[in-house]
Amino acid sequence: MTTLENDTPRSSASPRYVLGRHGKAFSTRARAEQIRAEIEQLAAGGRDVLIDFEGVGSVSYSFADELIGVFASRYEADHDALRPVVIGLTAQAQRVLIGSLEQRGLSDEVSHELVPR
Amino acid sequence: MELRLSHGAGCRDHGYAAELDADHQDADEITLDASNIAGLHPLFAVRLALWIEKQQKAGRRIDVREPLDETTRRDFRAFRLGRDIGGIDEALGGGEAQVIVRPTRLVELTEVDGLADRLLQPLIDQFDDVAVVRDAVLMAISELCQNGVEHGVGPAGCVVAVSRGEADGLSRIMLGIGDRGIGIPEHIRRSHPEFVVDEHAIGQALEEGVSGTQRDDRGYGFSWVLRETLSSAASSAEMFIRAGEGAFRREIVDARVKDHGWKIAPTRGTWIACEWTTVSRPDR
Repeated sequence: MTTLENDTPRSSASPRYVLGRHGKAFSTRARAEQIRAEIEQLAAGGRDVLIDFEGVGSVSYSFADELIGVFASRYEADHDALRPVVIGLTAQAQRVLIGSLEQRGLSDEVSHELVPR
Repeated sequence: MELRLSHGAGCRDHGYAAELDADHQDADEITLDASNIAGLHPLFAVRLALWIEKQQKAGRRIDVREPLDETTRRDFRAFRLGRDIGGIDEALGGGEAQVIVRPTRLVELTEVDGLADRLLQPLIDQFDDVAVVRDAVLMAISELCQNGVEHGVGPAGCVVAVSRGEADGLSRIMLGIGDRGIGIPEHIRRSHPEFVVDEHAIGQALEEGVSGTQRDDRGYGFSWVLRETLSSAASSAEMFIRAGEGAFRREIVDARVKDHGWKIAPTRGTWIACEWTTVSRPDR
């Protein structure tokens, strides 16, 4: 899969949203809603978006759930919806993201597809 | 008039210091005598900062006698008690090793993210002994301050402070958060009117998925503070909450959770103290 580093979508590639460019720690649902809107804009109607957590040292449950949990729920309900593929996770961020998907009752298949183990 | 704080006021009930609830409507000037206190929990710093602010807003002149105990006086000064409550730009304790976050007012949710973002690197660089519980501390700040801002009263938001100390030769990280909102029990009863006893309502708020918002995806903040604490290397931890007419304590020792709630005199707002005792030594 080809990826773009500079948040520029191209028809043959998946755009990449580099979360670490916007901070090192993320706490609130309000912040996640703002970033989710930016990612939707970046995707520009495309199917896949890479969300790169490299360099992010801390994410709260609320942030992870509002960002990845909401995207993941939409994707499970409609596989034509935007698919967030998460990369660059620390152990802490992975633990919280997986916990969010479990609490939303998402299938293991979708959970493994979106959050690498 | 003079308000004399007793020896244990800075730590008793995790620094809640019920003396500060007293009404001073007839006083034009108050001398707060803190000379006798020993030990200073960050919740006490939050309580005192808000008390001083309230008196000053009511037009009262406040004269403060600092603690005589050297360690307590150092923390008292490092918390900058007696000065206006700062925002996130002034939050970090800087060179004063025991104070990690001075009493800091958070009004907007973006400030909660801003505080966590500012705090992360100093916690990594400067506080080896915090590293083992860092994820739990940041989860608590994120989730509990978010609640405080969302449920606090308008421009007052919530106030947070963090410090570390020593207990039996081990490091202890302490967090205090206060707001003057409707309080956890009233908030929870918006969607759970059956929780009529305040300490029971607080205890239920700590359970997964219990929220006053009537949304299925809410009500997980407290449980994630617990999960991150259990994932950390804390040798023990404690959360104390006081709101309405209820108090609630959750203790974690050797991964076992023990809860206890009891009735108290009415309290305005929500006051939370968290403590994590680490296996690291404070002199690392």
